[in-house]
Amino acid sequence: MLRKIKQDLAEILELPLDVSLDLPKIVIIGELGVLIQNHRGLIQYSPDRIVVGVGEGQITVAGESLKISEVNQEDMIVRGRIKTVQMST
Amino acid sequence: MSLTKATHWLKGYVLVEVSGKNPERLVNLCLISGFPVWGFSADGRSVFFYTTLPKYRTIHKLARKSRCIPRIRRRFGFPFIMSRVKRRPLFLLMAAFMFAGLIYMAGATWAIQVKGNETVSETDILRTAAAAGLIPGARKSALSPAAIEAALLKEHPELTWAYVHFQGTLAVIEVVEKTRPPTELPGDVVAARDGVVTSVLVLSGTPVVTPGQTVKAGDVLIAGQPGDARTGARGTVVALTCYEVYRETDLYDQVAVRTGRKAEAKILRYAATEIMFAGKHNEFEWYEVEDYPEFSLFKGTDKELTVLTRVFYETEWVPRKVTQEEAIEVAKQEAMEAIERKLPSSVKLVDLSYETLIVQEGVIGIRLVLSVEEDIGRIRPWPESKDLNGG
Repeated sequence: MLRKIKQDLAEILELPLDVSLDLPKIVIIGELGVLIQNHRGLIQYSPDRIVVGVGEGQITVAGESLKISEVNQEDMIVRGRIKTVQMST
Repeated sequence: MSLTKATHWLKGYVLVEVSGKNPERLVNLCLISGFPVWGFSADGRSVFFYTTLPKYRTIHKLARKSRCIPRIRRRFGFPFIMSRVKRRPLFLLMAAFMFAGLIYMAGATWAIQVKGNETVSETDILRTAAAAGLIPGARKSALSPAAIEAALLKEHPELTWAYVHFQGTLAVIEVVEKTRPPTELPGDVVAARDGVVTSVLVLSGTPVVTPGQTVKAGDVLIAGQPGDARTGARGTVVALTCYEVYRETDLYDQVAVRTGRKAEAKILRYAATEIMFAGKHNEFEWYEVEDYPEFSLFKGTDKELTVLTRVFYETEWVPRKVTQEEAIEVAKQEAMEAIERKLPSSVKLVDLSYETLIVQEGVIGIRLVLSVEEDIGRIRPWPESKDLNGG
């Protein structure tokens, strides 16, 4: 209910939803990399699968030779041969 | 190297392998604690990352919380180099000794090069330089280039200039030798070519010809005074002379015509180096080339980087009939070039005429005649003056 109010308010005030609702933002750079903003931490890390926690769900990046090239408390850049990016809540 | 990398190197950094049930938890704890961590990789069992040495020292607290085992796999940076050096004091001493030795050796002259000498031998120059202190092994600070230059000029009067300088451990002696004007032997002034004399200027001797007189090559123009009161003739005798040249040219020639076939190559050009990165090499026997630049960086400098398309157009030779006027023009041009090569630079053109001849079917000839004014006087030494000078 609170989330719905927040969303409506953000739309009325024309604020970016990802900022106002604290949602993750994912940018896919072809098959070379994925930028995940506003993440909640690493859940699983192996060369062919990286699972990252986001808000109420998780993002799974599958591929080959996956590496986390940069990471801080908010952003994470995954590089390698990306095959799929899946979000589950 | 960026500033961050340089800072990490100065502080020291390590490659950490984290193994255990949940290595990702340790990564998250590191991120929350604000640890500088980078360069993550995994092999399925463990997670690897880099962190700075000061932060690694506090990582064990987090490792206990996440129930993981962190291990250092590799060490990088200044603190590790220093610890290795501290363990080997002799190594540090040797390095300091080698460095001091290098500095000392660089202050000496180890080779000497002589440039510009032709008649004065290198050995003589080196001997003089050695007497002034310039020998292999001599300290540069103890040498005075000005004193060596003065000694060289004093010892070798054939030298007009000497310059001593150092290029690292190489001493370079540059010299310039004196050049004397050629000595003219006394004799008569004679004609070098046939011609009609237009003016005579006598500096010494007796004029034998007058303006308007026709002379042949070898005739005496100004006579000197042989015998006891020997005075060689000197002067200028200007005469009207003729130069003639004959050229033939065909009334048929061949012109290159493009067939329509072409090959393209993409080329990267940097300074004088070209690399073909796409397209085809030229395969035509006869062709014309045109370059079409597409992109250029640092234009006008010697490090210009250009991407260009080079097009090779195939050509074939097609016979073409030349008009008589064109053929005459070509032959005239060739004849002029040939005659200009024969003419001395000091001549003055008086008249130019040409004659056209049809040699045979399809061939035309041009005879070009130039009348010029030039100094035809040349000194012919007397036989006895040659003998006197050992000639």
